[in-house]
Amino acid sequence: MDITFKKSKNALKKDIQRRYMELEAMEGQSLDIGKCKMEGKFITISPECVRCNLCAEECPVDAIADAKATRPARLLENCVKCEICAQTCPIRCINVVESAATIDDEVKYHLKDMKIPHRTLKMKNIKVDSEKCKGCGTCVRFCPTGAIRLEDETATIDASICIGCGACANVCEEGAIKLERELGPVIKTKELLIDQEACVACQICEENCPTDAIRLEDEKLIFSEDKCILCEVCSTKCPVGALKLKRLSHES
Amino acid sequence: MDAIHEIPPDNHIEIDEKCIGCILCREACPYDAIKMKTILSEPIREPIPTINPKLCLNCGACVATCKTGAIELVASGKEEIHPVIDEEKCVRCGYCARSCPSEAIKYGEILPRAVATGKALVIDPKQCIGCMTCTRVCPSKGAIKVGKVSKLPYIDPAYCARCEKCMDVCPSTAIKYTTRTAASRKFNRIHTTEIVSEVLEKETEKIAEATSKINSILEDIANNIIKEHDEKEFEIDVTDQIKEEIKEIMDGEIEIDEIVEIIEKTKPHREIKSLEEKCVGCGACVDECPVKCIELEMPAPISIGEECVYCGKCVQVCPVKAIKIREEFFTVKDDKILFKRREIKEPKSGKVIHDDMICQACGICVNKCPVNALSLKDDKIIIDQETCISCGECENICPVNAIKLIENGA
Repeated sequence: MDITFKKSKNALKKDIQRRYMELEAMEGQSLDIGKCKMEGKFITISPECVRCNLCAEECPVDAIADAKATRPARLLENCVKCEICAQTCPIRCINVVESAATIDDEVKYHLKDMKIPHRTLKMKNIKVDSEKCKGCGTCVRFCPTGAIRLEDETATIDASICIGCGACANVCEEGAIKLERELGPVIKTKELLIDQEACVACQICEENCPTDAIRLEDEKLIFSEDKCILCEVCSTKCPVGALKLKRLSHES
Repeated sequence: MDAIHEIPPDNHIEIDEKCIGCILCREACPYDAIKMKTILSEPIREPIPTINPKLCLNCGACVATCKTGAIELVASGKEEIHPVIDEEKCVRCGYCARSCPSEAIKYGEILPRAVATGKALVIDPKQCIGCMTCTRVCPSKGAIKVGKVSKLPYIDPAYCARCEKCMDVCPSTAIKYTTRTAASRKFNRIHTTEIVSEVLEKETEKIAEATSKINSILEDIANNIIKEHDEKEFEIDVTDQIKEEIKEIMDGEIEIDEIVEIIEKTKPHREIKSLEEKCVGCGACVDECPVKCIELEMPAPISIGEECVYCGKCVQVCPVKAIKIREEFFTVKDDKILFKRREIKEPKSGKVIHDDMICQACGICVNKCPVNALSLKDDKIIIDQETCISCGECENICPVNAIKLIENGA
């Protein structure tokens, strides 16, 4: 996806004035919003979600609300944008959207899906317990590759086109489906660059790191790479730019 | 406490206002002559929630949620309908603020008061090292804000109590006194930038959220067109319709400026059928079918099974043109998004391309390929273009859109 939206500058001004009571004190003064550009990154889960719940299981900071038959997975506010869910979603319905909002003569929002490498996922073994299966057909509706059909009121899985996402097992109320799968490692797409010289030992990174991967010892940053999930918390919070997240090129 | 006095001449007992109500005297009196009357003073009430008239939609959601019936929609004379909170009835629970759909009700926040003169504290951004110590010591919630753009703290003069705590702890002596007007001007400048960036961020997030539904929109459009049209082949420009539908899920004032790419993840709809009245049951298709999904069957001459991969080989060999395959899909031509239906009259030809980066190596395309043109080696798909019959089945089944058929002439 690569799409640009626009909106008039006056409409934006109205939004700003309406939203903030604090600015009422400035009434009479004209609101000058000038020109600017803001870049951002968002993670979205599209409604195609097959409720496999793999994203929620893999999220290192528990920022995804479980997917159930009645409700797709939902991102919570504590998301740190590490992109692991996007790498994991077996049907690629979690997207990392790169955005740029520009104010010039009018306001423009440019959104583009980032290309995120995908972890490997392999189905090893899948079995339906015909004793437990009641033939409700819920799993059939969620299977992304149409590998399940009902035969004699029992779910039957065509293992040759099963990707092992586990949507069927997750939505089955009877717990009738047992799945073994092999999920590959997270792919390193970014690198954290640490500038010890620039660091002022303020401890903001240490306080905010969701996985305790960074800490200060004798005013020096000690970084545990194995703990780091390459989210964007420390690099955006560092007041002096001593921590930077660099995206590695993955085109090969 | 010395609150009890004997008053001459009859030495009767009086209790003065020093009494703290410990009732020791009442307990001690053998004649139960002392009684206590309790008087509760008026409760100290917090300010009631405030309603921002510019943001309020006058929807009445707060009226409906208020448990004590303290909010009413009022319209009188020249005033338009608007909610009013009754200070007497309001129990300050803040429930209305949570129910407000437009965030117009604020509760529990003290609103800034503008003081025109005097001195105020400011943080000099040039000296500030961004250590945030000031934000930790400041006793007034909301007085020191942290800029998202600048990542530096700044003081809101309307909330600042000038206690100077921040000034004392600042390691770089960046906090100084200045005139109130200058402080307000500085604050407004930084704060406007902050608000603009916050509004932009919120709006972008909303748009990103909405665009995740684009695929569903495209699917709906495709299904509607398929239902409405029964022509054998057609090509419809759906650009405006897509723009219209996307605009609908956005908030009124946002429209589409430019679409570069949105159909990447759509998949073609395919259908095959045999015409009973034409088929002579010669069996030519049965032999030709690479997945052996066609069977001779009485009374209908042939039956086509679900395993069909829509390769078009049967169509070509049929001497009486009794098999029809049609395909419907989105495509792009001259910056326009088209929805196209076409009949497949001959075997497809083209090239299958594969993206290692997005591929999750699940291997189902390898299993599904009717001619075994695909294989998996070290978690990478290898395509044998010679064997490939360009049926596109791999593209259709791939859950992550990592494999694509580029048809010749498309």
